[in-house]
Amino acid sequence: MKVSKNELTASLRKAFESLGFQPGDYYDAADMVVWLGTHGFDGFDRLLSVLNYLNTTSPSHADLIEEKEGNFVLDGNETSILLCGSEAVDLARSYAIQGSSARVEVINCYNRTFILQRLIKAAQRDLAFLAYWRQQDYCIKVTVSPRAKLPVYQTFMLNEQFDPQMLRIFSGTNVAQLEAEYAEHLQMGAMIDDYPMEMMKACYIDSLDQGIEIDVTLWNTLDDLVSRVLVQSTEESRAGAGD
Amino acid sequence: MNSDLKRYIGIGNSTGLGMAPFLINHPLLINQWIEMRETALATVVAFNAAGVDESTLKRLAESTGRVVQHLGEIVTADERQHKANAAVRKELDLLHLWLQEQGPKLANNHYVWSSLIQYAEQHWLVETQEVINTLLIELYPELVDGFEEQMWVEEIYEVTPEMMVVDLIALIEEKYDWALAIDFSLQESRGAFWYRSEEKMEPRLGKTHIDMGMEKAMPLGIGYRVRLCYDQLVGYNQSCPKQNVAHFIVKNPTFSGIVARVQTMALTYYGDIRENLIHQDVLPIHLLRCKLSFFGVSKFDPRSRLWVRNTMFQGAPLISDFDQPFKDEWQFPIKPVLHID
Repeated sequence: MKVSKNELTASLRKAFESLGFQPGDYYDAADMVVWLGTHGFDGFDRLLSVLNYLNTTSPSHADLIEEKEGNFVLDGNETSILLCGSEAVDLARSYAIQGSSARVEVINCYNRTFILQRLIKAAQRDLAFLAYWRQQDYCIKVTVSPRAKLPVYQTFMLNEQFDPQMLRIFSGTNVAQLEAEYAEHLQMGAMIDDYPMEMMKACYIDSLDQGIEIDVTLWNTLDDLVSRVLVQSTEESRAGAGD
Repeated sequence: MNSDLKRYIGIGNSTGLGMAPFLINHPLLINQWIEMRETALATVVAFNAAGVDESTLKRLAESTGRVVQHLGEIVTADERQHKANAAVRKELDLLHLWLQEQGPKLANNHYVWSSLIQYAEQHWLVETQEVINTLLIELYPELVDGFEEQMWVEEIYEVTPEMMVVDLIALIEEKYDWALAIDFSLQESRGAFWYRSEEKMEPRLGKTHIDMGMEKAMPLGIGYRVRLCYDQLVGYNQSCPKQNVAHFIVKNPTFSGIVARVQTMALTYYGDIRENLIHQDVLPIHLLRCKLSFFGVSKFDPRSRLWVRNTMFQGAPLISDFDQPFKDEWQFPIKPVLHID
């Protein structure tokens, strides 16, 4: 089935609200899902898998466990990037915006692809971002230039084994400077895939023009979640509508 | 049917609470709407800074007379609205008479609109002032019509993470002093809550600790949320001085939404409704009227404190008027006088 971007965003916000997300969190989470879903990153399949987890746990956030001169480590406490991605990116840009580079490492976190929308949004303040994480036996690397509307999204062979649930984010004034400054962290194997920006853009335009394709099962799941924020209607409650 | 009568019928409408959450959830958009209206008014005032000519003063006198009649034709059983209409009508009648008598003299003396606005602010009701502002804007379509193309804004509410906590505290004290002035420890200050009913998902108002659904309340009490955030910030700043907002949010993640709103809206003049919307006596009808007025709605007839009947497009051109000569002065329409041959 097809839905509009506005319709989907509104439904997602209410669905996340029903899962205990707070204002701010449910706005950000909805934006992250819609971005992936409209740019060809299988956002809705990813959402379906994370909903099972969110449905059985209370929302939890990351803890700052280490901080030293622009280097931060957050413990995601097994939570989703939908809940701790904004904090991680904000921490990085709070430091980078002052002209220095910042590195944020989030350990014990899931659904890291959702971080893309937060990086794009943060880059609009004239900052560059670079992020990578392990996905099964590969490494995903994302690069966002200052004010860029789309990321460079590449898949590499793993050169070294690293924590499978870790996400590293680097932020600074430009991508070249980040690549040079953090070269020791960016030793990856051969590139095996590059998702072209043209395809992301075409996918987005198609989503706006034709509507966003969403699986009926997922839409029904969202509807069920949305129904949790609704209050039973009674004769007395109708007085609260002015009748 | 007679064409004048057809135009006068307009479209009847009833508006309930559904519009209130929209106003609260889209403060940047509302800010843009109001900013464009204020800019239109400022443009008109600046254009006539050297004085208003006699024919324009005459047009204002005519439109003021039309509003007096328009207000007299409104039928409402709501006592408050009826009194307000009568009071505005009385003040506008004074303006009408004054313009008729003094028009030529005012033009010779280089009268300016800012003097009229200032007089109205000092002597007349807010509703009268706003009618006058509307009439002034409507006198100059060539100056203001372009603003309707600037009513849209991309709504991005964003945390400024590098801001120091102490600066955010100061920002709230400056921009949200109205919220800090509310005593939320009083029962009546949190006597109402907003929720979505399973019936058409329509927003409703509940009584705190009496009605069902408090645990599902919508977060529309912006003033209260600002208060909670402020208290948390002050406490955090005492225990962890010299930290920025990013650190505060990592420690207090549930406040990220209200922090983003405060930091974003602090850059604007309008948008946030400076009222306690969870007070037991909250009057949502004022919010509804504000939004409806941007659609050109008139003839408000409040049916309770929660919903209002109104009329849309009264006086608007009919399809048959398109491409025909048409006097484009249909704001504040009055009953047509029919001549039967």
